[in-house]
Amino acid sequence: MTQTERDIITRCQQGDKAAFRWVVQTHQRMIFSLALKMLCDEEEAKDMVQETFIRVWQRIRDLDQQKTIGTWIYTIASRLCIDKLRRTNRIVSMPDDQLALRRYASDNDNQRTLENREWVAIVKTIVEGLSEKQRLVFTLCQLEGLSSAEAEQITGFDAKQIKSNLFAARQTVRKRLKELGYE
Amino acid sequence: MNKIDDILEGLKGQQPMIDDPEALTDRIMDSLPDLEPNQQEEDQQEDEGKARIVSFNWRWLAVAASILLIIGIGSTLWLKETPQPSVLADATITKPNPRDPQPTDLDTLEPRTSTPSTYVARKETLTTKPQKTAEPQVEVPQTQVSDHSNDHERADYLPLPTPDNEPQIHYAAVKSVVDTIYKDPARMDEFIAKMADFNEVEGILLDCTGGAPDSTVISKAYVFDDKEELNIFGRLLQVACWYDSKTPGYMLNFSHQQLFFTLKDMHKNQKYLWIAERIIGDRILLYCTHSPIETNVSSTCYQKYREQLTHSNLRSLPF
Repeated sequence: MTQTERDIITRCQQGDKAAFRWVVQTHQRMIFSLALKMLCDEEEAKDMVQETFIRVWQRIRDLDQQKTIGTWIYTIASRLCIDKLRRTNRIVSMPDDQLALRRYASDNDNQRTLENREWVAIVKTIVEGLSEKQRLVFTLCQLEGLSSAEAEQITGFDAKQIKSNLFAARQTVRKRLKELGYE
Repeated sequence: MNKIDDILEGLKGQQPMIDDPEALTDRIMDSLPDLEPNQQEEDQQEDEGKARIVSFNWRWLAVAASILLIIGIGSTLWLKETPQPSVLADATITKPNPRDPQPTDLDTLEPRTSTPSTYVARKETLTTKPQKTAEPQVEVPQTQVSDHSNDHERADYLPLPTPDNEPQIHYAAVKSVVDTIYKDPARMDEFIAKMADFNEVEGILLDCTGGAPDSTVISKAYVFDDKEELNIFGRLLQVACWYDSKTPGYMLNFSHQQLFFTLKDMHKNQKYLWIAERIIGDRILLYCTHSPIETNVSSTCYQKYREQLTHSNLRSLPF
């Protein structure tokens, strides 16, 4: 955590909402990304971002400044997403979702920025059949591009759990994509 | 990009866009609870609550302490106004000085109603009525025996003597707390009295002072039928064996013809003597006496009475 971040957090802990606005602006996209890939619903993802920052604000005084605030916010968001997934019905991809994946796969530009509805469709298609834990680890490590160490800090899992969940998730995704005709 | 690895690699690290990030930020900021003032308020309320609880507790503690104090003073005063004669007083003041006239009318005292918690009352009794110096008179030993029988037990819950009460309370009343071998010799008399009462044998008081009348010397004689079913010797021996041989003044001699048993009660400054003897006519003469340790007791009375029994017509004797 940089000195600037420390100062910002200190001000937040003193109840400075302007400082907290900076925190929200800095991290809301990251949390939105996680929430959208986990929940596969844009509005629910926005609600999740809002709920996450409310929690962060309420517990900002508990934050140990030795830790990274991004990781801490990720942790809160991850737990909220897991709770949400457990309460909602299983996400099942529809034929239109598979078409969105096919369009993305057929595009030669794999760096193309996807629209949110495309993200929802693609993730729905490829993560179908994953458990909540596998889905979280897969989202963090595979889709968000975080390291295993970061995933450990966020989820609270140990390295072995991260590795096994990620391995199982990849196997399931590969199997799923093979069933859809991908190599 | 039909390869799975390419698809996954293409998705890696991409972040969806928020269509209107500023709106989402405003929405989040608007929904934030106004924590700081509330939190401070909560903290203040908590502190006030704690303070209230503390002050509330202190108030109740003060009230409870006051009530207890009032009850304590009230009960003390009440007990002082209505003194309850207790055995403690009797036990502790009967023998402070062997030369003083000793209370012998223990049977005239009120029944014991004192409990350990009324020690204060007994102490008050002790100080306000230090000497129950009744007029010298002959008492019925069994009553006295029963009065003495529990003295050492009652003394168990007495506090150790303090400079305030030490001069007034006999040391025996408190020393018994650590006196593990102490057994009241008067219980021997109590047993004999009960045995006589059960067999309808009347005890005869003897004057064994040998000179001026001394109410501190209590002598009594019983004449039992020497029947096997009564087994007086055996029973006396059983009771005598109840006492530890380390008891002060312990001396036990017995034969088929005679049983001789002595004890001293250092707590009450008393010495005890029991003589059981088979006499003619298939009878057993049991002589019991106790007196202050320093007092000389003449055996003449016993010998005279024994002689009277053995040379007189049995029917003419008052039993």
